[in-house]
Amino acid sequence: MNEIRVLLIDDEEELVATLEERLGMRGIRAETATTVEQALERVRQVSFDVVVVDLKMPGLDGTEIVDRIRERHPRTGVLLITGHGSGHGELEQVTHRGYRILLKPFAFDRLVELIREAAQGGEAER
Amino acid sequence: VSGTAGRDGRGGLAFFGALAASVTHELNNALSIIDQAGGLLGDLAAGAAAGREIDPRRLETVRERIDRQVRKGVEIVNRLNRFAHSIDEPAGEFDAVAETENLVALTLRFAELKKVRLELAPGAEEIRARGDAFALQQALFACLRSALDGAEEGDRIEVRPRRDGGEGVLDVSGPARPAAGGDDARLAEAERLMETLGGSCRARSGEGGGAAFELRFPAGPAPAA
Repeated sequence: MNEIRVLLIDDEEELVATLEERLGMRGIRAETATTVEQALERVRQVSFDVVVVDLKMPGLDGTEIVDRIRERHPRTGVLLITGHGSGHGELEQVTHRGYRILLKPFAFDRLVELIREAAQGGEAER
Repeated sequence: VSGTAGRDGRGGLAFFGALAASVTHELNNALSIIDQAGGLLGDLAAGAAAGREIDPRRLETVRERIDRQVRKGVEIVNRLNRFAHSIDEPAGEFDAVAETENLVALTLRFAELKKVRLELAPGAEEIRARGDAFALQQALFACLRSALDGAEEGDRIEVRPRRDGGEGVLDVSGPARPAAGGDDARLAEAERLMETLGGSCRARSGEGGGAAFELRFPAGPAPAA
C-alpha cells in the first residue's frame, strides 16, 4: 500500500503537532488542523485516507465534521478521539454512528494500528 | 450535609458533575499531550541509539511542551480543588470575587465550544460575603449557561463583580438573542439559591435588549484603602 495520508483534527495544537511528528517516524504522512474551518478547507483540497477527529471541537461536533468530510470523500476512514471518559475504563468504544473512538490519553501504538486498519478499507469502523 | 438549597437534590450534584466532567476532559487533553510528548522523546532516544543525530533544540521544544502542559494540568487541578472545597463551610466567610473568578475560569470551556468569549471584568476588589459559596457559584453557573444558550459564535459574555452599598453584585451580560429554552427553570433555580444567601437574582434587559442577570448578596465592609 502507498503511504497513508492522515488529517489530525483537534483544537489541542500541541497534541496534533506531537502526533504528526511521531506518525511521520512510522511512515504515516500526517497533517494537522486545529479548527473546523482549517479541516474542511484542507479536505476540499486533498483526499485523505484517514481522518482522526476530536469529538468536541469548538463550533461543530466531531461527528458533524465527519459527515461533511464524508459527503465529499465517502471512502475516507474515520477514527474519533475524545477526552471524555466512558466511566468504564475502556480504552476504546464504538459510537452510535459506528465509528471507533479512542479515549485520551491513548496508547500511540493502538492509534497507529487503528489508522492502518481504517486506511485499508474501514476495518476500524464496524 | 446541610439543608441549603445548593446541596440538596440533584441540582447541586448536576452542577458539580457538569463542571467536573468538563474539567477532567481538559485534564485528559493535557495528560494526552504529556503522554505523547514523552513517547516522542522515547522515539528520539531510540533513533539516537540506532545512530541518528538528535538536534538538541528539538529535545528542548518537546521539554517545553511537557512543561507547559504540566503547568496547565496543575492549574486545572488547583481550580477544581478550590471549587470542591467551596462546599466545605456552608456558613463561612468567603471572597465572592475570588470564587467568581474561579468559576468563570472553570466555565471557559463551555464558552469555547460555542466559540463565545466569556470574560471577567478586570479590577474588581475583594467582596467578602457570608454563607454558602457553592450556592453563589451554582447560581452564577445557571445564569452563565442561560446566557450561553442564547449566544452564537463570536458573541461575548461578561461577568462584572461590583459593590452597591452594603451589597455585592455580579452582573452577567450576554448577547441580545433569547435563550433556546430552559431560562425560566434556570432563573428560578438561581433565585432560590441566592435567597439562601439572603440575596436575590433577577433577569433584566441589558443594553440593546441583551440577556442580563443580576445576582445580589449581602456583603461585608469594603477593604480599607
